[in-house]
Amino acid sequence: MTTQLPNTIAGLTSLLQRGDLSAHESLRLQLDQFTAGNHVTQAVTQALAIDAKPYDASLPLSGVALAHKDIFDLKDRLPGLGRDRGSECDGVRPANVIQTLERAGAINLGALTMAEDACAATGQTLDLPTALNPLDPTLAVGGSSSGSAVAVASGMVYASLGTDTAGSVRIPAMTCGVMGLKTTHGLIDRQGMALLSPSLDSIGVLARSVQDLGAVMRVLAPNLAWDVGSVRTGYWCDGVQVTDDIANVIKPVMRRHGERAVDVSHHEQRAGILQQLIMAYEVGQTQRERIAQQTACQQVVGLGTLGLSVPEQWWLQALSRRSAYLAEFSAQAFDEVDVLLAVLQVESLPSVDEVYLGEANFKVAKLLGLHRYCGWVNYLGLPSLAMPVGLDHQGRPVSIQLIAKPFHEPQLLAVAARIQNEIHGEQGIMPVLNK
Amino acid sequence: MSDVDSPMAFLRGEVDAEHYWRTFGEQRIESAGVYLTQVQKDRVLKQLLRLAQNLRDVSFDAGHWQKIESNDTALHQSFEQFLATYR
Repeated sequence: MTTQLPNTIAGLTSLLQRGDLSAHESLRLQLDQFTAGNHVTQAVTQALAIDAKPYDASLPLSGVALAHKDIFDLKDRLPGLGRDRGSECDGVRPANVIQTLERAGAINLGALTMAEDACAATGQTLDLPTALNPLDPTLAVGGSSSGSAVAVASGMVYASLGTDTAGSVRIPAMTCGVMGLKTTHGLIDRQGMALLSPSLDSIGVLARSVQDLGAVMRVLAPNLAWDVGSVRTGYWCDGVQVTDDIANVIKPVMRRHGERAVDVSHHEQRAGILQQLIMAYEVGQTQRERIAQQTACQQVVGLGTLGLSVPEQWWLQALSRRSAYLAEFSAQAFDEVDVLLAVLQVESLPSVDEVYLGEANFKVAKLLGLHRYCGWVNYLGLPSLAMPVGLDHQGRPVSIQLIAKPFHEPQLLAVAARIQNEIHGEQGIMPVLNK
Repeated sequence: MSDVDSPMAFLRGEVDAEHYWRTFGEQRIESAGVYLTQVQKDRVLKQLLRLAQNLRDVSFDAGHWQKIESNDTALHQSFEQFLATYR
């Protein structure tokens, strides 16, 4: 009988199927890990009551304990959205994506901390404890899906749902050295999820391995083409604004795993500006009341006030061009390539005092750098997978993002698996608290 | 120049920022129930100017900034239908 949890969902499922681990013991071990991790990381906003169920081999996630960003409606509970610890509300039904995971047998251990209203590139919170980076507590945790990244990186859970509007799955994954998949716009139903910028918000998944991303994604998107054949790869790393330290790590990996160079700078610049416009306008709309009542956080006020001054016609212009710009991008980037390895991180991971507001050493350039290469992907509606591919000279993880055509997440995972096996091994990234 | 045309004229570079802000921008914020200090107004105007310039830099030439008649629902549906062609 085992007393230690495997690093992957498949490993856990195998033990349960063989009877080497009972469902009861499995849940106890996962709960212990969740609780112990939270003592160190403060990633949990609210732990949930759990109904232990017997193992059911017909359910792909039976016995697998997960936890998710506190942005989703849960049974009789409204999310806290990084403002508070959520609230009881009789009659509230779980968000559709939560229900889908539950029907597949997954157990939900708790709601995880996040940046307030999902509107920040760090996980800093004012009225709740800020989650600590399990790699090093002096390192910043990216946002807004901060708790998800911390919980995955520290081994508290196998995987976690987050949301990504301008990098809010990819940035926290990057800062905690784990994988974060932003899904295709509209792939996963957002019913029951609080929206910040409806044209851009996507649900995403964070995990320590490609296998675990795949295990969750096969449940959430079973109708994608999961039988992947050969995948053509390309890379975009020339002309990007990254430090030498980052370039020295990412370029060899990109050239090794990318078959041809692609330059999408023009598309990235254009889509990035239009994403900023849409997000500002829509934050102004969704947060209008709270800004007027002066109950919104600083980030929402800053972006939303600009958004309120942006005319509707500019916003409509930006929306109207999405299909045409996606078509242009595809014609260039995906003509001879299926998956594009692209820059995500511009410099070494920042410390808390460099990017958390109010800190003495705060540098706005470092904060902006966190999401420098994120938003353009959201504007074009593309899926993107952030993954660490090496270490910088300080021993901190360095990440890239893999980008595919809409609804081609299986191809992303196929390429990511090759990179993972080379760099991290078949079991993926080991949890940090257990090292 | 009517107030309806002012946003697009601003984007096309046909009116200056101060004119746009006086005739349109400031009113939009106040109509939302948000009242800014002068420092805040100056900051928002600066951000708006930067956004407008960025839009001009990366998009088509000025002649393409014409009024859109569709509503956002139709534009969202159009984009989602286009995305679906990739399945």
